[in-house]
Amino acid sequence: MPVLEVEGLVTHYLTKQGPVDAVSGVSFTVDAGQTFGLAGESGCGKTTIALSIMGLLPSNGRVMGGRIILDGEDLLGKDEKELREVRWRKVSIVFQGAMNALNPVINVGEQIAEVIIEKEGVRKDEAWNRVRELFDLVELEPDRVTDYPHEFSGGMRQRVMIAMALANYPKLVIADEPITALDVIVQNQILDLMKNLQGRLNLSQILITHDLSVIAETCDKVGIMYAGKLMEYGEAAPIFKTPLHPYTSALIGAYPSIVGEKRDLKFIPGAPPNLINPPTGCRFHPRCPHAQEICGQEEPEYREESLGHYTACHFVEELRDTLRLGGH
Amino acid sequence: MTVEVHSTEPIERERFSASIRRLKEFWALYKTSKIGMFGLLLVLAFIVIALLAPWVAPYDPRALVGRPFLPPMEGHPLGTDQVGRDIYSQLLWGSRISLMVGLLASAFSVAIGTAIGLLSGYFRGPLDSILMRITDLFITLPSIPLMLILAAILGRSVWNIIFVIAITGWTGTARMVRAQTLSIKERPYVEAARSVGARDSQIMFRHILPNIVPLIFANAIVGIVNAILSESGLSFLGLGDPTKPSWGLILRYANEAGAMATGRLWFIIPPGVCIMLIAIGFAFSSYSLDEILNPRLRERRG
Amino acid sequence: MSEELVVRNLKKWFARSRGLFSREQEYVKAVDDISFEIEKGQVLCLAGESGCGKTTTGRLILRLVEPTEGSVSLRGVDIFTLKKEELREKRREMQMIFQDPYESLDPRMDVFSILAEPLEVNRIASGYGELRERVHKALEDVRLVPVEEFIRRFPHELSGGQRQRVAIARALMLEPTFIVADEPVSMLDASIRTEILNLLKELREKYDLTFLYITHDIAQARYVGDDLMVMYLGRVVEKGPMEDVILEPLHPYTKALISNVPVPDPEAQRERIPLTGETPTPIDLPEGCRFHPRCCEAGERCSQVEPGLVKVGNDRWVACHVQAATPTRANNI
Repeated sequence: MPVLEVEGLVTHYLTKQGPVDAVSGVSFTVDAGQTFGLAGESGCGKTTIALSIMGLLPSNGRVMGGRIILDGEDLLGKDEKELREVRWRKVSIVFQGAMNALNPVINVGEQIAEVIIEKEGVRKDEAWNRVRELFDLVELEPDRVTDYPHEFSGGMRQRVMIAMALANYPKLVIADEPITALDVIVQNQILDLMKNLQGRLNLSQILITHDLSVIAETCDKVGIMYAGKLMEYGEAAPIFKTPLHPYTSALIGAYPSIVGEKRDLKFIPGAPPNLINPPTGCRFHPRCPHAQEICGQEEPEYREESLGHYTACHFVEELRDTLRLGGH
Repeated sequence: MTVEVHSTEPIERERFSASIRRLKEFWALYKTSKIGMFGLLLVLAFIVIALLAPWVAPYDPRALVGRPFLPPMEGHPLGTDQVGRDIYSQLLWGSRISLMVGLLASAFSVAIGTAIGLLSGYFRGPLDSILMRITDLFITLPSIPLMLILAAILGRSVWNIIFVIAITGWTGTARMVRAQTLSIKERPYVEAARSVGARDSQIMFRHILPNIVPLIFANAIVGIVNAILSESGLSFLGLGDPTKPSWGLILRYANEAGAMATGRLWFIIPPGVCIMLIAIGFAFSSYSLDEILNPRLRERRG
Repeated sequence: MSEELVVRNLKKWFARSRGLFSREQEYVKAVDDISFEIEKGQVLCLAGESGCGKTTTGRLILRLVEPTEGSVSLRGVDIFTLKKEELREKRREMQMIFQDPYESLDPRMDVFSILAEPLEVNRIASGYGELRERVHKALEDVRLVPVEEFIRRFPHELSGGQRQRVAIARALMLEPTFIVADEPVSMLDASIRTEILNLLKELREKYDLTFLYITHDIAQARYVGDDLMVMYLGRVVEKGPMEDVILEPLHPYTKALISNVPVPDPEAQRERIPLTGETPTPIDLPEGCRFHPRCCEAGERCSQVEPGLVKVGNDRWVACHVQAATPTRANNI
């Protein structure tokens, strides 16, 4: 049984100008011990998905439909009290920029212990023991549990955040842009750590990032988000090697590579759409170089094109070869 | 591909129409706040009264037009004061004093504060140290006794009152402007201006001032409230201009004449109510202004 | 000589008091004695991790910050010797494109004013007519058309990519020959970056510009640059033609850095060189080579003497005792 099953998730933000269709029918599963990469550019809805799962949407956010089944239980049917039981114990999150949001006047050990005590009601000394264990787990010196946030470097603070996310030994960790602010060498240290922990603790992860290179190197399954919808979903290797959606292909092509032949980079003209009034038909069609009339009229069906590989496009067959060869 | 330039309007007019656009947006936002509209209404009401006082007031406020201590009656909606002057006329004319002192004193104190804060924050170094010492000095001096002393020394005139209020009220603005200047000075767009060769004066006037004007403005409105209350207080204490019918002065006479004790409430309550209403008017407006100016600055990103 | 920019022994040390109550001074050696040249029409990429000194170097070169020591000569003239007015004139030849498209444009100025400013403060244009003409041309250069639509807009009415185009247009207003681009696309989405990078390439061709392109993203550097220079803790550790440095890095730090750059290909088999710990801050630097505590190739000399930047081949430089001494290198000149 998968750890997480999201089915047809729809989330809106209510604004003065009207409801923003931030997540519009997204489905994916995360199996035990797996890393699922949710990729997409800013505004595509990936953070909203994370907040919907955690039940931490801002006051104007509403889940309008779908199911979120974590470890067999539908989270959307729960009230705040029940959610608080689930939150941090079965699923936890490392927020974007969280490493800079640590309370500067409380030492880090205290901050993690707080989470443990609050969630499990254990005694203080037991909580502190676990904090030391967690530090060991994330490769920080256990002696440093009483240090303050400013005494750690960026990468180390991120390890602290990971420790905090693991404090109650959840089954699923959601990491929203966990390494964006860090240098490449430290990035890889953190990614290695998370991979390592995944193995040791049989942890599942959702890695949310805009950086496709990072996704390519760490994720088992990938979902490419655009304007609130999943454009493509499946195992990482086929998606990168034989992308079926023009957006995926263009996005991969927009990343310069340090290996291989130097090639021209792809670019996508225009900008992501306003989600109060999303485009008719396929949401990507205004910017798609292969768009035809039907793309603006009818929304393409989201289908399984090959084993475990899903996409929504009217011209999958016609574009298969073009996209594979890196054409645009 | 060259684009035909159709517009023959000079640059200034284009920039002006951009400002108009911004004002319209601002007004649309302001209108949505009930508190702000209510405050604005009060302020406008008093401004109208102040402007029309010479024509609307039935009597010259300084003229003796009846027996003293007349209760409200025909011809004298609020009765007469202790020497026989019409209270209603004094009240109407009093709005002129309050508004004039309020607006001018606030304007001057904001001007002084801005100049000091801007120079201090921009140039740093010894100039900053000196100006900030002076500011600290003025902050530590208790303003009310200072006002009293200065008013007593300088003599009782409206302009002296304005001076006194301005000279004791600029420190808040100075500090705020300095803080903002320090912050804006470090912004990339200021660095960009320097890299294209802008001089210090050009940077101050093109980049720093325009970006702090909205906050100065909000400060100024609050300053008006303080100035009006200060003026009323000073007049009440007898330091105001005895020839000008200020609300504070009316309160003073009412108090001296024991209006409360003798039940002559028409004498003592109206001026107090007026002071309160005009202060509320400005305070509510500034509350609404703050709401608009702050989140909007945040909204501007991305 | 066709050198556009010559930097010699450039240093920038920031003084700080050690601790809250101490009167002792310590120095943050942000830029610690670097020298290099850029030929006319070349794009030199300056790469390194945060804290290596690349951003400070960029600002020193434009004299937006005063140096502790050293010289920066633009076409033979040392800009640090110029007085205020002379500097203002010289500035017209060298401009900067800043990193943050949200902060490098004054939010209260419309696009026209932003682009007119360089001309106005230098009193260049001979009237509104010329001003307008030049602003229009600049917008066309960066392909923000129709021009009429964009000149009235304010920064918050533009997308990130559009703002950056305005920033580029502004940098071109004074018709400079040399441009420092400080991470110009790192805050933009991937799909928009390409447009901007291609635009920069195009403008470089069109106006024969020389670039110092600062970035932490080496893959991006590869796409735009001719040469690559890597900095670590305030010093240059390696410099050379882009493809050479990337395919055959010499300095151990460069090797590690390049091996750690992620690649958008899940099946790419790459040998990653891990480094222990994190890059320290440029205070309290170790004796000898500042990289030696983390270096797997370090020898005895490395902890004693700081290596200088040494030429090891045709336009190939490295600051490393071990590499400089390798016989194969010396023979390849």
